[in-house]
Amino acid sequence: MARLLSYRILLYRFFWLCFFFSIPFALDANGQDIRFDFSKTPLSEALVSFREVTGVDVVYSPELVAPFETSCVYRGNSPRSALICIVLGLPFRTQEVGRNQLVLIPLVEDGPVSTSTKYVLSGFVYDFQSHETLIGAHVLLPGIGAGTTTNDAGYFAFPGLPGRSTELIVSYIGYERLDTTIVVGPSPIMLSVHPQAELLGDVTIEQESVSRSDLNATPGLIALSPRQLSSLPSSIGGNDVIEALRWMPGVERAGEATGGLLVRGSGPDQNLYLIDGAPIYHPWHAFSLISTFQTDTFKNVLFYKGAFPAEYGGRLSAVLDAELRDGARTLPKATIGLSALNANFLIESPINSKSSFMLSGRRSYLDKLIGRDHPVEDDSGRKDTLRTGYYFYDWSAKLSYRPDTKSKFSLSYYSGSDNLDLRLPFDLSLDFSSWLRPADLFFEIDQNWGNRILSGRYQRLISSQLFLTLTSYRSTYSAAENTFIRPTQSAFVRSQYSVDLEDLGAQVDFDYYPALNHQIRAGLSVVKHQFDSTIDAVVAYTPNLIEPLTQASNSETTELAVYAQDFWRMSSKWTFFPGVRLSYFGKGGHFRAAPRLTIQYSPSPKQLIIRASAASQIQYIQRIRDRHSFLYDLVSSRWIPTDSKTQPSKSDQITIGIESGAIRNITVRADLFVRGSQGVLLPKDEFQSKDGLLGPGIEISTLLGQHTSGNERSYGVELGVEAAWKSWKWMLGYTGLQTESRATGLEEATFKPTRFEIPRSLSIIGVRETARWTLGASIVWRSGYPLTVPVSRYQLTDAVSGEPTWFFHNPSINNGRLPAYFRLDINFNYKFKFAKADWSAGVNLYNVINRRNVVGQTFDPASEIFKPNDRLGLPLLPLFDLKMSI
Amino acid sequence: MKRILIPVCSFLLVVLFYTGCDSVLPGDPGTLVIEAYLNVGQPLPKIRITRAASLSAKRFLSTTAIEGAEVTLTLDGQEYTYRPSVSNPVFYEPVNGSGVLVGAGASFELVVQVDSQTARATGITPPSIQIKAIRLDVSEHPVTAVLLDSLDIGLDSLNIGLNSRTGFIYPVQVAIDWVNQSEIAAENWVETRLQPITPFSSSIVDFFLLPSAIFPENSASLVGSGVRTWQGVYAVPVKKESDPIPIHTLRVALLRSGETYALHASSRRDPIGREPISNLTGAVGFVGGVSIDSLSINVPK
Repeated sequence: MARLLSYRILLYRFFWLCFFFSIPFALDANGQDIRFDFSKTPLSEALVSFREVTGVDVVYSPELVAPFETSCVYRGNSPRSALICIVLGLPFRTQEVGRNQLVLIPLVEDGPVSTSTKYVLSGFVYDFQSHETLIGAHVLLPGIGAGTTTNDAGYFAFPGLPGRSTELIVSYIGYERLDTTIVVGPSPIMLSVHPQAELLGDVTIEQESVSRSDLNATPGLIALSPRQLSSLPSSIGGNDVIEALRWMPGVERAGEATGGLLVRGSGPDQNLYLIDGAPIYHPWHAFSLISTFQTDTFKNVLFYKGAFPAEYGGRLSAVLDAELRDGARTLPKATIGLSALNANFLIESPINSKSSFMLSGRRSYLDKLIGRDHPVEDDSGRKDTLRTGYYFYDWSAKLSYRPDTKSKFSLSYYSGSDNLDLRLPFDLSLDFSSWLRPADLFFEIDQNWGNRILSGRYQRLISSQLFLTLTSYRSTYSAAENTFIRPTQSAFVRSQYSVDLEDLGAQVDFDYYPALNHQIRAGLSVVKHQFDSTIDAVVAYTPNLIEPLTQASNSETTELAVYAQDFWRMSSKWTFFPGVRLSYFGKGGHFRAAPRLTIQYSPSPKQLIIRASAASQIQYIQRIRDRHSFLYDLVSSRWIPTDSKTQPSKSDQITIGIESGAIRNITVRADLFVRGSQGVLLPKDEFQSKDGLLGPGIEISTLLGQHTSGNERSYGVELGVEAAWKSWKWMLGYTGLQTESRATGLEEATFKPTRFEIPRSLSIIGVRETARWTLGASIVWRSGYPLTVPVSRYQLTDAVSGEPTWFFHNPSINNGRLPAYFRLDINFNYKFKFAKADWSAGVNLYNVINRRNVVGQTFDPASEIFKPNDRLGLPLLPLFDLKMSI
Repeated sequence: MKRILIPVCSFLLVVLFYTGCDSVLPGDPGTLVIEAYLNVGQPLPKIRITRAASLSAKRFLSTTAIEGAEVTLTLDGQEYTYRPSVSNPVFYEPVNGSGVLVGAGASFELVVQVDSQTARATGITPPSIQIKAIRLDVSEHPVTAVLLDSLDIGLDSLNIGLNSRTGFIYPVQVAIDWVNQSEIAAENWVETRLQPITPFSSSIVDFFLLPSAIFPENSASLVGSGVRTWQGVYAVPVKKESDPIPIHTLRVALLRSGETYALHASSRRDPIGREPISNLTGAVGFVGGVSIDSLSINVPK
């Protein structure tokens, strides 16, 4: 009954939300007729109105139009005629440069003065629909063979150009290419590109014809737009950035559906996750089933494998740099969705012509369906309240303010948390009704963990050749585990354990464009880390035998870093990308330099590009877990700073990659890499597992005492093939990889496979997208995880009792492997319009052939016949999602 | 262009073939297994020497005796030779040294030579240990307890295996006192045992009982001049709440040894999860000096 009631409440709230969102937008004009009545209106305002009314983008320089006013009365249905009306009598002419795009060209372009003066051609690249700036968009000047990418503010610059008209191409994955002619002048220009979704009436996806050498200047970089991420098969938890990255070669997770991200054989703690410049330390919900990176809330995701630019540091393996949406600057937009695990919403809207906001939220609803508190009573009238609560939530918000065309301020907030609250009888069974009764013997678990960040960013175009970005943030990770267990009437355990990590950081970045073939980025960052942990626990074996454990562990330090990097286009075929990052870690007084260099050679950009990079990375904090106690570190492993006794870990990686678009509609990428790491923390005793309640305590030195220094090495090949033909899109990824480790602290002589080494991994995705339907199928095949397999068994007798016990002989670790993993998923999605809203409904059949993969094995030495006990993976799971957008 | 593409593609194919090869290798069966405890105050020990058995053999057929091993024990500089026991060939017995007792603080070295294999262990025997007193605190009434045999909840696999029930147990608290000199406490470890004749096992309740422990001797509480103590708890199950505690025999044991024994004994508690840590080179098992004292008492008294 309670479940039914909760369900009704949820549905009621869902439809209430639909109703709420539909009110303001139902009053919007449909825009069929174009009507203007301007009288001495500033030209810039008139152009904004033109965009909003016609839906047609107009490219212009705000600096050039600022001095002018317009007076125009127009009634008609031709956007071009309307624009001509607006600029009639003013020193501009119009030119149609693409579908739904006009450019305003100053009539002074042919004047004799402009051609003799050198200018900096600069500007910003925007999404036409939302007016979000686009990070990493590629801007090309084919006439002179120059090219660059936009920075974090969507800004680009080409210094030293004569003041005359020139052809300009803007390309961004997921967007229609903009091919236009502009006049080089002293002011920045605004360039808008259209999302490809607009063109998908009868979908035909064509290969990008732009020079591929400018699409990925950094080997290992994966730049993804939310649209691309959404087009990949979704996970159990719905659209998820990190789960989508799993389809990329070289990226795996440490488990079937849970576990951290493993990049090129790295450990999960060797990846840096950033939201608007602020680090996020535990980017997972639902015991790592889904990540905190909800696809729709981000406007841009950059993912670097290995040789990431010098502006990033502090991790050895990979960087995920995601930027929250600024909020739509033209029309309000709202989306609500419901998936198998959560309900979510996103609202974005302009506040005025200079500011906009985005607000999104997500919450799981399982606890609403089954209820959280369950008052119970037995036949004797005894009352109790049992609890079955679990939920997670995210809040993301961003406020963007643009006081003028050269400045932008943004304030970003993220808060996410998981909360588990259980009070259940011990002797429960799978019959749910048996749980709901007063019980003497029960367990209470109250756990919550989550991240919170507040980030402020100020971007300022100081001059056309110098761009300034200031970022400051506070990022916290907090976890608390409160436990009360009473397994007998005379014994109990009560514990309160907490972990808190706080980063206060500030960063200054400069983008300097000294010449046409150089783009320099340099900066300085300072971060104050604070690590706190406490435990207050009591174990009562009997009323007279009580063992307490009360400890606190506090540590703080400061990390400083300066960096510089240059994007140097030496010739049309050769590009160099050198950089260095110098860092200092206060605890232990460590100073390290991490140089890196990327070289790109493009003998024939459309057919073959060769890239090579070498990079060093330094990591000062590592995440480790207590290996003894059941009372702490269940959900929250600890980040531990290096100190004077432990050295920071260091990684050196060399990557060679090729990219070829020699075959039409097919892009092939391949990377070879070799990576070696020193100073990583490895368990002293690989076989040690949690075996008691109190354990040795939470002191940092105690935790470090369970680990030793070690080396890791990995090498492999990644192959990615993307093909698009008509409404079909295919992706194939293959990774061949070997990852091994050696505990140098234990003087181990040889390397052994790491716990999650996957020698071979293959994924194939096929998607057919029509105007209404999206049908997809995906296949994952990979080697099983390494497994320590006994080679023989023997008997030992107890020194005191003389009792014999059988043991397995395990001479080497990870000497075997689980059976190979295979899974086939099928998903389909249908888009439709209903009640003036855009809807999409989808079904994802996870593991559609219901193959029960073996995800773990144990062996019992006491059994007569040697055979493994298998732990099986997830069965067929039908999952749904529903989304409505206005 | 072909001049570049062909060698690049060829190189890629070679790398594709090579990477992804499995780096895990099967192990080698037939390892020597040696076990002996040099118990202070006791005669020279028998030494158990076997070979680890193949996994394909059924367990009860798996113990393989070793023939023709050359076994030499050197104790405080005196060599003792061993030969196979006639009654049980998995054991080797001293040929000489009849009447010799293992002394405290004696250095030893055991060398076992089998064909081309040599196994070796060294160490020092600990000081003698002796139980000074035992104190019992028996609950007057049984208490209810959850008898949970297994709890395996795997999020990945949605495996939920519960097999629990409630029953009654008498928790019995035991304190053991022993004499200890502070200068030897720093380097010795102590293992305690409460071994009732009636066994009890529940994976959850076991965490709340303390039938045994291994700890550095100087971490034990001092209850008097040179006297240390340890307290543990064991449980005796009964069928009904009204049942009295069954009269049973409790064996209380104390063992003193070094850190290598502590590592070995601690790692023996999870046979499914791991292999015990050995102090031998060239073999698995354990050879070390121990001092053991035990008492059997009837409970309730």
